[in-house]
Amino acid sequence: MQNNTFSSLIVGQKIVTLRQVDSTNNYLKLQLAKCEPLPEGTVILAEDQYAGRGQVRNVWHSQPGKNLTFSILLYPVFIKPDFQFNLNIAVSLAINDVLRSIVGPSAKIKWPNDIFYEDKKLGGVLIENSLQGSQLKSSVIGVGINVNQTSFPESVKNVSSLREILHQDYDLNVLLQQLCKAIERRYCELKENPGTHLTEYLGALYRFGEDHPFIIDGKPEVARIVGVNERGFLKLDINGSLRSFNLKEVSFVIR
Amino acid sequence: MDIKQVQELIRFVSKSGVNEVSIEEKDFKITIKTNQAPTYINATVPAPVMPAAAAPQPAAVAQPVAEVKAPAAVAQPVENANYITIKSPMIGTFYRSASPDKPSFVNVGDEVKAGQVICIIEAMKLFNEIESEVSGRIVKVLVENSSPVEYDQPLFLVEPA
Repeated sequence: MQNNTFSSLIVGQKIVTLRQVDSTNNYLKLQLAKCEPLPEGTVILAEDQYAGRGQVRNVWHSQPGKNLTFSILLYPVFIKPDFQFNLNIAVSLAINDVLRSIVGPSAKIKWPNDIFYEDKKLGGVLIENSLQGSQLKSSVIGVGINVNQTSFPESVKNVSSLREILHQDYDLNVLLQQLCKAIERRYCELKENPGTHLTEYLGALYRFGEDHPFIIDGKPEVARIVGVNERGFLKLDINGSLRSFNLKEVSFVIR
Repeated sequence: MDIKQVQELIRFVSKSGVNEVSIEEKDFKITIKTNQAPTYINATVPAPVMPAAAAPQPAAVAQPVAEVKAPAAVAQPVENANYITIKSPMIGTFYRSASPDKPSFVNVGDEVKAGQVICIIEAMKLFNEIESEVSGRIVKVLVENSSPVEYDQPLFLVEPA
């Protein structure tokens, strides 16, 4: 019954390229609000995204034309809203698939969805869903990857780009095609079998299974990531006792 | 139960003429005594009832289709039975506006249309714009901005148009 997605859903078949936009997510959401009939898999690509967002207030710094900033429209109506973390897992894993193929196994996912290389951030994901009551209607997947940018604002620590790792430029269009293909593959797997990606996600997780410093309840503590539950809570082993954490309850200490 | 609900409860109790009211939830207990003639009413609200349901606001227990869970706690006027409760479809953080510097999506008294965005719930960096399923008037906002919500927790009361 659901197999038709394999033939009908082509992420990136329709790509709208904008020279400049505040945020590709906002643009896509605005189009949706106007009831534009957009096919699933539509990609909005910005050459210059000047107000891309991380979490509510974090603004993503991107030099025009240097990086990949785009949004994908999906209609994951099969996902129960309370288990939407699976969508985050599928997307993060897809991006990690591609980056690992380019820079090797040091490409990781920092919980819940930062794109990391060693101890540095290469990119991020911002997912914005629309729900009618308790029914998921549409999902706008914003992705930002630092590709050819080599200078970053002083205030931004622990950041890198593909160019800094590879010491040469990486073609933005090639990367976009790779990411679209990977996201489509992971999304179809998710549709077939929700929850199927958890083990792989843990395998790709930054600092999984190792002792590292965290800030817990406002104070530094050495702990070990031992799992993530179906709602995305991070399970830590702190001196032998297990606790689960919501997003704002724990933070990583990175150097 | 937030401070507003406690205040409302105190007002309610003082007007009601009873001497003492105790409400007990899973990890919350409140007793309000007045200096009136001793009449004892003891209401125990079964968990997992959300804070709002324990408040003496009539509408909080008036769920249109689902069973009414709270027993005896309130004897209510019929007029509110038609209110529709909009509940949280997930665990997360409840936001009444798109960002701190933006106005609330809806306020008490506003008319909303089905499909109109009424709040955002953030869960693990996934942002969810929740649209109303019904057209009507917002009667009550049951959760403070930027506070955590549980799955199925009542968020708004709407008087259907």
